[in-house]
Amino acid sequence: MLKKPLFIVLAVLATAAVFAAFSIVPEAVEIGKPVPNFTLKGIDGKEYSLADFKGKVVVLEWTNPNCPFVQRVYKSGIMTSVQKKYADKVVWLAVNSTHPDHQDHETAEALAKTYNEWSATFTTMLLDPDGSVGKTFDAKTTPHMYIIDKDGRLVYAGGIDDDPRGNKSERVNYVDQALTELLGGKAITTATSRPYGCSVKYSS
Amino acid sequence: MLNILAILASFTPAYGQIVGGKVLARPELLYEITEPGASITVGIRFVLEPGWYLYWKNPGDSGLPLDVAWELPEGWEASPLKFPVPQKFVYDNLVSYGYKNEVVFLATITPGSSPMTSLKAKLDWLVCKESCLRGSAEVEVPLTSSPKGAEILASGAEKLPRPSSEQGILPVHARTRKSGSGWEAEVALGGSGAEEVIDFYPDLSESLFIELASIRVEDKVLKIRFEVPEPAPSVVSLSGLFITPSAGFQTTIPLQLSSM
Repeated sequence: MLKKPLFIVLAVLATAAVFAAFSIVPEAVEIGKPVPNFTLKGIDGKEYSLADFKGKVVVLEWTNPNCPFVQRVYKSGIMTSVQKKYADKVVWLAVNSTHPDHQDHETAEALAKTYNEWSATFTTMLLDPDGSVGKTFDAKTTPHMYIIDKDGRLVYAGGIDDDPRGNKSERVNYVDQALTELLGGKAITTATSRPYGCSVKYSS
Repeated sequence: MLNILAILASFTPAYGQIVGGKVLARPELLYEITEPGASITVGIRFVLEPGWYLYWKNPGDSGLPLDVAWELPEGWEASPLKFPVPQKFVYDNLVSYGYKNEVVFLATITPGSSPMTSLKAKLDWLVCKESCLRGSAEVEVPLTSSPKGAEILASGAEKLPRPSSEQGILPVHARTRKSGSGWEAEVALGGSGAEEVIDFYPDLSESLFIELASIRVEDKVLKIRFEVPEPAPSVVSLSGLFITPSAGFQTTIPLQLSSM
């Protein structure tokens, strides 16, 4: 008589173990799939959740002002022109995953000052000091760009453009292209591209 | 028959990035002419401050390789830059391929009919340690003879990749399977040199986005994960270097993309 319930208990435990094993695998961010929600503090001291922007197109831009690639795309207007073009159409969140012990780390005040001097027009910059959000998105470089559609699905991941060296006379700005297509209800031509830049400084 | 061996080092001052009073990367132009009118072997040698590194032609998850713009008279031609076998650096699961301490990039210049009295090039590079800095320099070396650098050019040539057939390394069997949004491949290696292979450094590819941190070579099997931009072709070409403890061997492996 006892045998059967014990068997059931074991089966239930085994099922629970399987679910536990799955739950520790980080949710992979994939093109066409919903992205997991996250909450981070912005440089203005307020907390922001991705879920707050439900129904809006969200751009994520991994950044580090001490990276020469970031400096180039800001000073040449490559990043700021796209930020400005879509300022009232999308939510633009810069994300800084620089570890606090890394020499590139800056305070919220210093970050606000630098990007203000560079005429950045993002919604805010989020601080991800433990790198957890960066790792969820597998952000490899600064800059590394992501676009999330109104339904919360990832629709673009990659570089800001096709010009890592910054010397092309004609370049394709993938983020501009994808946002134009997305907001115009068209299919996105280039959904992934090779990100380029400095590595994200996840540790010291 | 004249057999001239003229090797020269440029004395152009290096314009590198200076941090803490130290020049991080010092480039220098070297050349060798074995015969008048024959092609010229050219080397760009960088001496780096400890810890700082330059990048391979496939920089990895981040970074940028050296770029050179030769200033040559009409009719003269330069080969693409030849990059020596790099080292792999991994920080936070992000992979870089590059060079520390000292590196020599080589090229071959084919003379034209017009005279050339000095060799000039514009260099553009990125040097990284914890952080990265961009550098550029114009280097020049007069084409007169004052031997110096033969050993440097020769040792530079020794560090270039070699054909994998030379070492007897053969990809004998490749299996691919769909895995999430990407693909997983297992390539069994055969031949007399297969046991020595410890790693694989892929070339930069427009048709494959390789997850560099996934690359493993264990028991003569190369394991690699990658994504393919849509629409995926039926066959992709995986090229790169088989790495042994002492050298690197160029290979190209065709991979069938079909569900198994």
